[in-house]
Amino acid sequence: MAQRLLLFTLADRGYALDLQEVGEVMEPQLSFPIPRAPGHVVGLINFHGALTALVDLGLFLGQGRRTPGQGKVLVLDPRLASLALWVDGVISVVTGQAVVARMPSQEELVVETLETEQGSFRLLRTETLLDALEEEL
Amino acid sequence: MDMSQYKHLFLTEAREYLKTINETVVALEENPSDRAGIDTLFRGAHSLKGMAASMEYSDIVEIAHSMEDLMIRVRDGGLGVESALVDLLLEGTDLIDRLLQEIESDRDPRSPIGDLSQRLVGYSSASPGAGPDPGAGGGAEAAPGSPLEAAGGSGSAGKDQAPAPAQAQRQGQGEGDRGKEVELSSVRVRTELLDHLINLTGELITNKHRLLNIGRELGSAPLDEAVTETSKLLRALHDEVMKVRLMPFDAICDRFQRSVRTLAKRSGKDLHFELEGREIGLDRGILENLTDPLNHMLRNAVDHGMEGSSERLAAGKPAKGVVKLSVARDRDRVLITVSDDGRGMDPARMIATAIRKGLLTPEEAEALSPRQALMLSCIPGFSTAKEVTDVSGRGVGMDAVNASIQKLGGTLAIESEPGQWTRFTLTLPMTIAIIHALIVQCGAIKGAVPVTAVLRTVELRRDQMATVGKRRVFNLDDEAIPLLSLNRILGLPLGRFPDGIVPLFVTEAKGRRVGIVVDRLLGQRELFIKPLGRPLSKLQGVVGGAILGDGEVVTLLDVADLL
Repeated sequence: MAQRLLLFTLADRGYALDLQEVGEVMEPQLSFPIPRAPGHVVGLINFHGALTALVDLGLFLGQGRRTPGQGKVLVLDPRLASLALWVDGVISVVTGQAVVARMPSQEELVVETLETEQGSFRLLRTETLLDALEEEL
Repeated sequence: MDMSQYKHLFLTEAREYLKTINETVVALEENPSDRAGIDTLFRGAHSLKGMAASMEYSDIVEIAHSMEDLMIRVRDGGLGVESALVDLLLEGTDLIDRLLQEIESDRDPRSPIGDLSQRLVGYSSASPGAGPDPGAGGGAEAAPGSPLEAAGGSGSAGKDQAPAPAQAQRQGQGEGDRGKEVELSSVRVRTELLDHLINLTGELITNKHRLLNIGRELGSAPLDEAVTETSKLLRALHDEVMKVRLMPFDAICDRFQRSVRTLAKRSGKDLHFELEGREIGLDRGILENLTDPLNHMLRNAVDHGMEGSSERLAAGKPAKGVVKLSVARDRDRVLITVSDDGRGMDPARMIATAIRKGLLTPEEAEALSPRQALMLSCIPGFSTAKEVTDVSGRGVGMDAVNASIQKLGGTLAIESEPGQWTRFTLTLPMTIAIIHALIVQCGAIKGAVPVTAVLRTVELRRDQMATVGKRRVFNLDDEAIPLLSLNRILGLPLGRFPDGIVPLFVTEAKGRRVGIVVDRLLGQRELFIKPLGRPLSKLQGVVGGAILGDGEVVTLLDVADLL
């Protein structure tokens, strides 16, 4: 199957996720604080009956805090994790054909940087992101 | 023909056969002339061989075939059931178990089976046709393991005489027929399906609370009536579904029989091991987590609790000690007891050791009751063992046991008569999926504490608090209970109590009662607990969460872990 990518923004920088790893895109919703969780773990949300951790991805990546009530929430496929990523906005879903160039990345959390007509997007390494979040706990 | 689709079924059935073989082998050591047990062993090995052959697992076929041949020699050739033969058969079941794990994980190639097959085939007794090896005095005897004992009722300790062979055969056959009837009226269900049923039931209960809230707001009598009727039906459904999650304690018993036998042999102790209440059902989630704590307590009982025969005789006790593991049900709780008639625990010695190790000051020691002194064994680093063996004595065990029990929503109590006996009692909830919890508020956080961890809730006036050293305490049942702030523990600003009333709940942590101060006590609720999943499953002190009827999410706190 051809690769499909979800393109999104965080503090004016472009990021991407493999669409197969994303379960749903939602509007920000009410979350409930979790004891002893680090600051970037905003709280728990009720995702179709499953308790899902909401993480301010920008804050985790050192790019400042999201504004309450704004942005979008990318809920990962529940088979991967119980995790929702709070981002600034979603650009679009594209196929691999929309990527005109790929540059490998030195960053641990980034697989490669993708060049498209809509700009540059860092493709995130989800498993490494999960490991990094777990390490912070 | 593609047999891989039957792999799961093969593994399930093979493990059941292995369990039966393990139990029967250990029981045969006590009663080597038990004809029914010998037949059961033969049939078990034969069936295992057949199933493995159909799945083309030749390594398992080879071992099972060799075990079957050995049992033929016992059954027809008069070969005696001695300790060495039992050891060999158990080695066979262990190897098959390992191979099953490798099959499950698709390991290829699997571990080689070595020369076990040849040793099984080549086994010969030192004294053919003899009973148990008279030299094997250090062996542990397992009581309710054979079909004979089961027919006579469980917990039949000290039963020295076996029934006559003809009677035994009839009883054994009766057991087999009854077993077949039970089999026809039951079906295998995948655990994932059971979990899905539990989830749906839990969601229905949450939605019931939502409907109740809506009904209250609307003030509609017909709606109230309908919701009340729905509640009754849901309660019945919940009770039936919870039973589905229950598995008999028997599911994990064989490993205890094996480990006590091995421990007794290794430490040269002569003892009798009793198992009672094998049929009692426990939640699958609890059962899975009980093996390690119980194994540790049994290890302690054999290694440190039990004296050697000469020491026992000098103390006027029978040469053979008794270690007992029993399970009983008390309404919605399960009581598991590990007891022994060994040397007991001395509260005064426990206190002296704790003071010497700096775990306790003399002043604190004065305030301890004998019960609390025994619970000192649950403090990390505490051990009064004169020597560390490779089995126990390093002081890292009982605190881990207590922590495991508390994680399951249970409590541990220790009683002892120095020189006579010791008894550990675990009290556990029947189920961990739906629990009753105390809801508390600390700042913006709403947390849930299982009621099984709450000894009492208290609303203190400020004048009821005192300061001892640097600690704030209050008096409860003539005991000075230290006060801790849950806000502080969670890293939140301390609460304010303008009306002068401080709400708290009393719990037990690290062997001591403590008062945990919160901002508000919000009452008890019935909660359907959901796991947190990745990445939050790594978060310390939080073991799950629940969705309240109004849609609010609360986190389930493991207070002992937080402390």
